[in-house]
Amino acid sequence: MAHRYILAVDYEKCTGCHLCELACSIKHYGVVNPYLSRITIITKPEIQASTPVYCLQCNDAMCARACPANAIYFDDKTGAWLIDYNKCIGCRECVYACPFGAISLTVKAEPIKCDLCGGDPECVKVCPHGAIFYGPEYEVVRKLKKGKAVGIVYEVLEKGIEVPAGNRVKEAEEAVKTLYRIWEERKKLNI
Amino acid sequence: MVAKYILDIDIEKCNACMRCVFACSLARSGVIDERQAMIKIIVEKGIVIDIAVCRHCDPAPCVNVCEFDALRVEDGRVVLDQSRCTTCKACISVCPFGAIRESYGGELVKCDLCGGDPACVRVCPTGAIKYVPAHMVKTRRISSVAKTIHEYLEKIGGR
Amino acid sequence: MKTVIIGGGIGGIYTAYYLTKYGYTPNNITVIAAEWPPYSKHRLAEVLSEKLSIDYTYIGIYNLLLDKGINVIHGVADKIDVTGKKVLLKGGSEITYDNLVIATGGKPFIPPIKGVELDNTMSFYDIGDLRKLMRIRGPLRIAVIGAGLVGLTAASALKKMGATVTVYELMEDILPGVIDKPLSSKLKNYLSGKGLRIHTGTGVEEIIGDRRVKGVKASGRIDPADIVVFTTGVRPNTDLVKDTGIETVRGAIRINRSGATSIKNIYATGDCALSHDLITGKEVYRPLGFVAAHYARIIARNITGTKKETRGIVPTIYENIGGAHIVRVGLSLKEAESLGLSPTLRCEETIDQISCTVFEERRPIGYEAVGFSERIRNKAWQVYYDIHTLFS
Repeated sequence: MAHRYILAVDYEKCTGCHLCELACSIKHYGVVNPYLSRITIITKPEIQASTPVYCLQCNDAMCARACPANAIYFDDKTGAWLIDYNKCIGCRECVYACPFGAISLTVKAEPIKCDLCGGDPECVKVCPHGAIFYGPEYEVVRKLKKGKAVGIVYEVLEKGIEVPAGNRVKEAEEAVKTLYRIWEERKKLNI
Repeated sequence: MVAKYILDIDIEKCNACMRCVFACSLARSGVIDERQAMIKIIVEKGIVIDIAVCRHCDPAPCVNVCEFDALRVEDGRVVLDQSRCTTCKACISVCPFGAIRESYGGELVKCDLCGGDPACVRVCPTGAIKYVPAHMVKTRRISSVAKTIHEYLEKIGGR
Repeated sequence: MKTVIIGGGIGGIYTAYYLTKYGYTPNNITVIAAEWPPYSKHRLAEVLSEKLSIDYTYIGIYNLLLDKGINVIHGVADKIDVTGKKVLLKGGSEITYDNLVIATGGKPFIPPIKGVELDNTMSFYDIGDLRKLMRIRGPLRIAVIGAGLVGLTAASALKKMGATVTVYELMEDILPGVIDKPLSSKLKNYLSGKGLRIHTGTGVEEIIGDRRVKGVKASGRIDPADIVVFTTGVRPNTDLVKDTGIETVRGAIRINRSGATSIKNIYATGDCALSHDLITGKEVYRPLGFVAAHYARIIARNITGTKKETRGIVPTIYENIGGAHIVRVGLSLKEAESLGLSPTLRCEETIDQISCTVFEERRPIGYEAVGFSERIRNKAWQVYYDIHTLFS
């Protein structure tokens, strides 16, 4: 089983420069227009936070379930849910179904969503702060958590019951401990 | 480019006051009768589960199946020509939203956006139905998501 | 170039409409209609149950056609002279044609059982039957024979009028031609709960009475009845084409994919003709309104000079019977089997809806659903789209 490729954003690194939005609209439409972007940055100056909203490529995607025309399908190659515009009837059901607001409409009321640029996302390349990652799931998560441990746990999960050889066992054990610690901390924060 | 205007529906905001239904029926036929309305609020166990109103799809399934030339797309709206309709109901069978309804006397009715100024939007007290340019829908959806993330970031101490 | 259309039903009217739409001179179109203005059979039950005026059944398009200047002859065609290219009307007059469209429609089929000739037995097919039923006053016991779409809509309309209605169906399930077993048994329970008496698997043996109907004898039992309504199906009304050389199959006119009959310049559409099924490509008899309109458009295209062939029909049926929604797209299991396929059925059930998809070699060929709430949401469009992309 190949690793799933995902796109993820480090919220702490994002400065809210909106470059990714511009890159996205240029890549897909050749124009600079934030309304045509599939990634959107919402900035809240009070807490100095910028939040990119983008498609998470859910495992069990609500948009695909809600689509009455069966037009949203999973592309195994890139790990993206894509819209088949031949089938799409433009009913906006996916827009309402998405819990993240990741599907938007163009001025012609055509739904657009992140297609991972066919496996080479433009937003990742253009981000000056390295806040957007794209890669195999475990690698991205490892980068986000800034540690090796999580990555190894993912590898273990991926391979199932197969135990890593040699000193990797120890690494894995430590990884589980780290995860447990993160979980404890989050519980304290009551999230 | 002129943006396409759409009915933006937020079920969570709807409290089933039925004003839109009555306004729609008044605008269409001059009487207040649920069966004359082209919008329907579907309530199950006290919860609004669906607002059945035309999405003005493009390409629209109903237009595709109509053999009578009664349904057609007219500048972004799907309109039903009563005089050509024979009530064969093929359009109801393929509409994924139940947006075409049987009205008084077996006549079929569907939303025509009141020619650009929908009565339902004018009377909605909670803002559950809005008539907005298509690309503005994104803003509403996203800001609610961003709010949650901002709250989270605030909780863990901001950046 | 003169085009004569025999029949003022949906097939005839829409042929005239599409001809004018595609640029045919309206003055050259003649419609021979026994009933004018044209009306829609789909609205009969609604008009009956709501006690509305008969005007509600009329299709508004006739005004448009008259304004454009088509000719309408109130009358009945008696004979077609194929060699002389003329239609003889009852009453002696005749009319010549260059193109002839036969849209004589269907006639109700009444099974040959004892007592069908008594007073107060009738069919529920055209506007005449509606007029008869509208004259009924007071609480009556009505027996509806045949639990198809027409039978059940008529039964629920009569029930709404205040009559006590009993439905008899020879087959094991209701709506035998429309939906399959898992759905029809649910629907039967629902309708029985609404107060409609339905006897399935019950063949009516005799209608009892002298001059007037007194009762219905079915499966050995006698139920009292004041009126008997036959909704036992439709047969093509093609007495007109006998001895003309136009090819018929079991009474229905055989047409090719352009809507043309075996004789040049003669076309046929509607309940009097066969149609093509898109999935199997076979000829089927489907007396449905949109089938008539589909071939009307194809015929109009061919008469106006654009060669056009239909790929066939995917049936799309919706009906609301006593608050239950019935949706059917494509073939049902039974229909697919009768067309020589070996389909499988996969069903899903939620609280208020039961839906089944019919598969043939893992390709969807049909979808049927019965819903019991106000919410009509289904996958019919997905299946309809898939059928069109897979089978053409």
